[in-house]
Amino acid sequence: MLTQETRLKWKNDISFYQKFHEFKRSVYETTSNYKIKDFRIAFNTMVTYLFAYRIFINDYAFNRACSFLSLGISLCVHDDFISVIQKYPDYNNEDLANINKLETLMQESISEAISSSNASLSSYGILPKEELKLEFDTTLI
Amino acid sequence: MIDIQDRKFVDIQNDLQKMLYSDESDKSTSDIALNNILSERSVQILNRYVELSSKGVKIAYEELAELSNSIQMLNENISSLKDKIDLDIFFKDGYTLDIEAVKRKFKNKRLATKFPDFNFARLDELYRNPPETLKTFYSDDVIILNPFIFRKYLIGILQMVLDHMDLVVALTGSEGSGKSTHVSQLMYMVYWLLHELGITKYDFAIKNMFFNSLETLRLTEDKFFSEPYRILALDEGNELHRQNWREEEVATFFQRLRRERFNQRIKFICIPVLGELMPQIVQSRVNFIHEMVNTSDVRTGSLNKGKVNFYVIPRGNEIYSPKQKRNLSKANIKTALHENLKDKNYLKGFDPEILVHTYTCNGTWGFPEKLYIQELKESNKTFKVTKGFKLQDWEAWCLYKTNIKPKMLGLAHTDVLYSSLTKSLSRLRKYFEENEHLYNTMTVIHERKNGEIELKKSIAEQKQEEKQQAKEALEKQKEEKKSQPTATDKAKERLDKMVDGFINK
Repeated sequence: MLTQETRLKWKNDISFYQKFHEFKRSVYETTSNYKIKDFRIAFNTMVTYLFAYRIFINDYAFNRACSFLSLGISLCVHDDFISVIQKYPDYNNEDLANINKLETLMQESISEAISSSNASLSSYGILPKEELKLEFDTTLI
Repeated sequence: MIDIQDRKFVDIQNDLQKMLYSDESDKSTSDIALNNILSERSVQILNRYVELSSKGVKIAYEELAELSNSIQMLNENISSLKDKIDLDIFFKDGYTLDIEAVKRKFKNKRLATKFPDFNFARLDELYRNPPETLKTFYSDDVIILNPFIFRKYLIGILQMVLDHMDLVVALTGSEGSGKSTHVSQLMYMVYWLLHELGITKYDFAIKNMFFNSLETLRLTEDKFFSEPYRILALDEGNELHRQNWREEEVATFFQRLRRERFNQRIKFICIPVLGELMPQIVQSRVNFIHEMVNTSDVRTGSLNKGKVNFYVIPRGNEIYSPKQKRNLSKANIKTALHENLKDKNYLKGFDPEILVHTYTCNGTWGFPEKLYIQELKESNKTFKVTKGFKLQDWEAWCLYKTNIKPKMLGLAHTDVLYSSLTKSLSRLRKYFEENEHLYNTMTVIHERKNGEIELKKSIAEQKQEEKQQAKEALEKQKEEKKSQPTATDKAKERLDKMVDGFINK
């Protein structure tokens, strides 16, 4: 059985973690700022990332991220939403407001998912952080 | 898992909004979700513990043993995590001091009466953003500061206030490498810090701070004995050479270094080679060592001055070296220093392994250079030629007992001699009156000497009397003898009688 202690045996594989952190950064860049037409890309990136590193992510955080993602995708593919989108380009003001609101919601769902998975991944004890450079002097005199 | 929900559009929206905005506490970064930092096993242990304790059921010994082991493990994990998180929170904004904790400690130690004007906000600000330059008090020139050094001195002063420590700094370097200039800068920096933080108040007067000989340093230290946080710098501390340990001034200096942490002095010692100081003093009392280095400028064929190697003998277990990008342990530093100081190894130079930082300083003086040249170089001259003379305790006592005053000698207030005579006489009085033991012993000696003289006198008188008596007795005898008939008279009488008898016959 994969417990988190056995997962931590990877701890010394530095090159893996370097690549992993690079990937994490690229995921963050794609998912942090996108328009609604790119929702598909952001969603796919997020899902790939979530499942690729499933074994490192805490169950609680994983479930939370999943529920966010499912609510987000449910909104995106819902009949009501598509019927509004179909009116393109004849939107009235109410439609625009609705679309903006939904866009915000979807973006937030993905960013919330990534934040909860990241919190589990890189916080203390689960995975090592990026190699800590000794920038700060923790000693006195 | 991710699934597409076939529900009312509004319901999904509401659910998502609820999840996003309901628990704001989840979003703040300072809160740490327990699920995220603990491993699954740790959570299981916690749950089991809670379950057992709430139900109050009896458990078997094996279970108890397992529980104790696992809780111990949990404790180790959590405390190491806490340390990490503490540091992370602490260093989130770069270099910070926990000012609230400082205030608490300040309050607990009841320092508010001692330092009524202590400025916590300024301390925080200075520690976070050390000034890059410091304007001198006498001109528009600036002293360039190094933030690392500045922070170390700031911590030193903070420890002086909170933990009642003092600060001893050694500056080494060959002749002309800028020791005096740099020490003046450091002195001004420390003075400025003390005043910015509202710890103490006094004038930045060079004659009360910067000395060429141990004697003047001691005299000034005596003068400001009750004032803490005095800055004292000894330029050219060659008197402190190990060989001179027997000399009185040197012994007093080291004695004070050893014992008088109470007065919390900030002492700077300029010495050409650190090894000239006694190793035990260096190892136990010196906090910072600045080593001045000259480098050569090939293009102009001259020297580049102002490079400084900075060493720390830490009070804690470790010191971080920005130069070597690692923590140096106290034990290693002490061993390296010991190797360096023993025998004549100090001629070799420092071990680069213990180098903490290198930086450069500029050539601005902390006090006007003119003053330095005028006062100190002149005193240097006199220091060489006239050495003065010392009074023994008995001689000083004699002077003290005469209770002489300049007025008695017919000196007016305006006389040049008046003030210096008064000063030295008051020093003399202080010397005896503040040292009860000495006063008592000197009184005893005085009485003994007085007694001896009287004894001699009485003995002499007695002898005189005896002599007189003997003389008188002799004269009496003579007179008695005169009154009595002598042997010749008797013989004459007898002869006369015989002659008479003979004639009568």
